Amino acid sequence: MNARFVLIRGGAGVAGCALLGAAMWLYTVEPKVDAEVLDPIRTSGKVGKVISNPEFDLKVEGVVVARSLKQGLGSITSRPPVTTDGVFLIVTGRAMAQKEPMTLDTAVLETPGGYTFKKASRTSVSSNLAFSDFQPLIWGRWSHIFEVPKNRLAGAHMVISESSLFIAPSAATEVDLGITKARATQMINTAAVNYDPSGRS
Amino acid sequence: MQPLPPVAPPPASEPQAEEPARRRFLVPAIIGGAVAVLLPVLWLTGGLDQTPQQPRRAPEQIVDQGKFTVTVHDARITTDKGVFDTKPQRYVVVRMRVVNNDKETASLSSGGLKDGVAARTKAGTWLKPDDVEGMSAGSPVTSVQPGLPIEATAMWKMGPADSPRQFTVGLLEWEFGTGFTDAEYRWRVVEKAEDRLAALFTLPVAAS
Repeated sequence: MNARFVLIRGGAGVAGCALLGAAMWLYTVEPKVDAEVLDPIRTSGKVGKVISNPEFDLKVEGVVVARSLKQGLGSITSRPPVTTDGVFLIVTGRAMAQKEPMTLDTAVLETPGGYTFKKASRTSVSSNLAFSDFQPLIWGRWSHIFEVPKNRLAGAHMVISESSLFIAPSAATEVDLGITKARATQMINTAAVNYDPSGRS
Repeated sequence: MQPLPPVAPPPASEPQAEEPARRRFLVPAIIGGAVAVLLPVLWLTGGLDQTPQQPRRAPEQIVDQGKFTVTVHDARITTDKGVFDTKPQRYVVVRMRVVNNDKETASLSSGGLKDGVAARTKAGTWLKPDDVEGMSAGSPVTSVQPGLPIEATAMWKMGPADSPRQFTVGLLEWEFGTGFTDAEYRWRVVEKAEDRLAALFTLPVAAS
C-alpha cells in the first residue's frame, strides 16, 4: 500500500518534471521563417518592361557580364582594371518615383539555392549612377554592379527597394534578369574586359 | 504534595506506527526521482560534456568558425596611414584567407568578420581589431561574397615603442539562430565567446 502510494506520487512527479522540461524545450523551438514582418511587398517583372508599384516605376535596360572593370574616373586613368575570381554583373536601367523623391540604391541579387549577393564592394570602382535620387514623374538612370561566382549567374533575380535609414521600405521590385543556363555560359564566354561602369558614355 | 497518579501510556495508534515507514520511503523516492529527471535533461543539454577548450592551431591550418572558414597566414608589423590619420600609424596585422560559408554577402567590419576575431593582451583581456581590410583578385573589397574567397588583414593599433615578439589571436565561433530578445535567424558570435574559441593562435611577429 505505502510502496504503491510512493510509486504513484513519485511517478507523477517524475512524469511532471519531464513534461515541464519538454514544454520548456518546445518553447525554444520556432519555425524558421525567411520572410520578416517588415519585408516590403514585391512586384515582379522582366527585363525591358516597365514594372510599377505604388512607390516607383522601374525598367531594366541592360544586363552585362564583365571579367574586369575600369578603375578610377573615366578615361584619364592608367591603372590596371579591377578583376575578380568570379564575374561582374552590371545591371542598368531607368526608374521614376511615384509620389516623392527617393533613393533606390538598395539592390540585391538573388540566385537559385537561396544565395543573396549584395552590391559589389569594390572601392576602387566608381560609378556615378550607383547612388541615384529619383524625382516624381521624371525618369532617371541607375546602374548596379554585382560580383558573383560563375556558377551562380544562371537564374538570377535582382530586387530593388527604397533606401532609407529610418523607414522600412513598403515596396520592392523583383526583376527576372532572364539568364538561363545556356545564356549564362554564353555571357561568361563573351564577357567584357575593362568595362567602364562609370555611366559617362 | 501528593504525587500524581501514574498515567497510563496512550494506546499505540495505527497511523503513528505507519508514519515513519512512509517517510522512510518518501525522501529517497523524491531524491531518486529528481536525479532520474535531472540527469537525462543535463545529458541532453550537453551539461555533462567537457568544458569546451580553446584548441590551439598552427598557421595555415583551416579553421571553421561557422559563418567563415579562415586560414591564418602570419602576423607582422606595418605602418599605414588611414583616412583620418595625420601621421602614419603602426599596426600589428594578421593576414588570413577568408571563405564565406553563408549564403549571403558578409561584411568585413562590424557585424561580419571583425566581430569574430580577437587578440589577447598581456593582461588576458580580448581586443577586437581596430580595422579589417580585404583584397580580392588584387584590389580592395569591404565585403566577402559567398563562393569568392578573399585575403583579409585584421589590424590592431600599436604604440610607437611596442614591438611584440608574439601575438595571440583567437577566432570566435559563430552560431546560426535567434537571439535572446529577437527572433530573427542569422549568424551570431557565440556569447561569452572568450571562453569558447574555434581556434587560438600564437603567431611570431615579423617586422616589415
